[in-house]
Amino acid sequence: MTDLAEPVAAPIAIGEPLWGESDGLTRVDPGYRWVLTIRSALIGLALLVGAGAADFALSQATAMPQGTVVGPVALVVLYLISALPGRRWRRLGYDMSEDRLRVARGFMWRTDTIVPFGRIQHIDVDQGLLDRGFDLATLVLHTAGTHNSTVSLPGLSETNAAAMREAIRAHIKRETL
Amino acid sequence: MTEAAARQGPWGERSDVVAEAASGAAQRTHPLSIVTGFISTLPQMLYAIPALLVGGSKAIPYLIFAIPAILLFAGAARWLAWRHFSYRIGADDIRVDHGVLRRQSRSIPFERIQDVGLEQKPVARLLGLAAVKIETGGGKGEDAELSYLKLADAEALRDLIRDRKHSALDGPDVAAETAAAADRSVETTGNAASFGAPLFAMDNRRLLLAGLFNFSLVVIAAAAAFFQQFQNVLSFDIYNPRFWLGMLTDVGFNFDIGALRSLGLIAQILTAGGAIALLIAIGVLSGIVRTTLREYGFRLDRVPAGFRRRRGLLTLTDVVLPAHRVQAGLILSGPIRRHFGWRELKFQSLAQDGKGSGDHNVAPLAHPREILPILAEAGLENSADPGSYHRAMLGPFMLLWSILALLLCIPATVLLFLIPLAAPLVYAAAACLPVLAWLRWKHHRHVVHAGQLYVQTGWWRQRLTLLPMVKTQSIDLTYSPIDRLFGTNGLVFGVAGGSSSFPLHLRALPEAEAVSLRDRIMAAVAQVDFSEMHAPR
Repeated sequence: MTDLAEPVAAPIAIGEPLWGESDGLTRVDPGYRWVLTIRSALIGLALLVGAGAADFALSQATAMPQGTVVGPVALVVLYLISALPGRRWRRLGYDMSEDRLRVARGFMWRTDTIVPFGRIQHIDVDQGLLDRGFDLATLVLHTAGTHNSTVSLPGLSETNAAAMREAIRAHIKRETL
Repeated sequence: MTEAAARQGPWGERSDVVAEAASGAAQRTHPLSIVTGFISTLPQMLYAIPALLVGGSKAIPYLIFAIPAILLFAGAARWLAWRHFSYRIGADDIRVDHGVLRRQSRSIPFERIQDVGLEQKPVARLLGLAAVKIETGGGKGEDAELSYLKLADAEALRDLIRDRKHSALDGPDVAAETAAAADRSVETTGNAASFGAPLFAMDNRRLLLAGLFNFSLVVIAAAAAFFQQFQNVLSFDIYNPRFWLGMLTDVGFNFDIGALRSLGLIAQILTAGGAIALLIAIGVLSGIVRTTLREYGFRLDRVPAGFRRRRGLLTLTDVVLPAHRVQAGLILSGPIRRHFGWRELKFQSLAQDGKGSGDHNVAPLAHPREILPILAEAGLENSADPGSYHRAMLGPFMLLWSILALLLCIPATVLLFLIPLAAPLVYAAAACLPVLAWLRWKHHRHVVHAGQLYVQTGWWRQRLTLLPMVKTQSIDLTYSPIDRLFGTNGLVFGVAGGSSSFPLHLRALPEAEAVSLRDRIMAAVAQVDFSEMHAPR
């Protein structure tokens, strides 16, 4: 079906596993689990406060027993804090090769992005407040594409993020020569 | 670390800023930037004062406290921001570090710098300061701003960055670089002499035809929206038939609604037919008028700088789109114009074509054979054998719409008992959904041919994207729960220009095919040196 005139440039990795632990991806720093957990906890706290207020108002206005709202919400929050951060961490991975960076994330809706180094315009290393507490950083690659104008890889250790930036920048330099 | 490295001279006086920056030491901006930043926040205070004064004389004691407190706070924030902002001009890149709580460190390689410019806002100008703005060719304005430096320092720094950039680029001639800097599409008044025969031009006959195909009821929609908006102001209700009847009576028609009823079915059908004919006439006319206003005297020339397009009846525009800025070709056709063998050609580019759309219209109505030479000038072609296109998997296209259709059958079956006549309509609507999904699948095709990716989408308004593989900026391989069910993947392409909400998207490819297609394109991209990408050929 494909045109035969076009030589296939690279060995094709058909059936390359995109799931689970053995997908050729490197996991980010384990400390990022804590960052995710704290973020989840903050969201959970806000949810619980909201649910508590709703619960109180409902139990005053109607004959509903207390906890009808808080109960289910608490279960959701429990999931948010206990299971979700670990799962998100496991589903986030990267693979840096000679000339490209691959970043994969998500479970139900999984996105697996490849950015060739030659297409990177500039590079950021961001550190939020939580990141600073765990010596983590986010590597942000800017491309000229309208879609994916930024590709970010969170949860790298600060030194690793800086090293990756240097490696990518060196590649951009080398390409010119 | 950076704070310690950022050596600071006596207040306001540093003559060796550029020399120090060139040595790679971290530099702060000029301390007077705090003052400029502070002054620029003052107008916001003016809004706060009358708001506080509403409180009457009681507010004055608070004001006496509040204003200095706010000023102090704003000043302290500016000072902190200034202290945490530093830049370094390294051997390979420019580093900009900033952020008090949330820190950001940006690295801009010299090879990627498109343009370095200076900007002087009024306050900065009074203080003799200027901002250095650095652009790297991403679609989102300047990518770093050093504000502010003393004007002389800013100029020296700009020159330093330009020098480093040129040595980084292995010293191509400066003229080519300045051309690259000025290569966004420039609107000029048309006065230059034209170069021989145009690449594409439209005579009045073609213009009229294009207008006919541009049939649109936008005018009516706009009028309806206008009346809806000003309903209260207009003091009449356009949706009330009595208003129109009343108006007719005013003009002298003696109208009787009973008489209309007694006219019978044929007359009613005739009236409805007349109304539809009127609508069509308005649609056609508005299409012709709009097209004529925009496309009159359409002429596309190949000039050394790129594609020069002149068009317009009242507002003449003269735009040059640099050829090396063309990212992809788009061949579009509507259902009727396709039948008559007409196509529309656009170029996707980083430079914006008017407001909203980033695609440059280079041939509003053309035969396929007229399109080929224009494509060739942009280094594109449309030579893939139509039979060689690959289809996507049918399942992911059909699943959701089929489920929705089945769900629609439930109310239809209920209706069958209540209003037997209405039920078939709902059944028909339900049956349409899978048919539409199937049509969408049938026209969703792609092929890779001679270094180009061809993507055909849309069954009503068809769109063929011709994307040279090396113009790809990034590729997403995506999975959704539906994809997992069918073992398929989607590919989403990051391309410069075009719409961010509707990127180039190949849906429902078998997993192995999607992965291999992505690898193939990425291998093609990795072989290219992009530092010279923006330089004119």
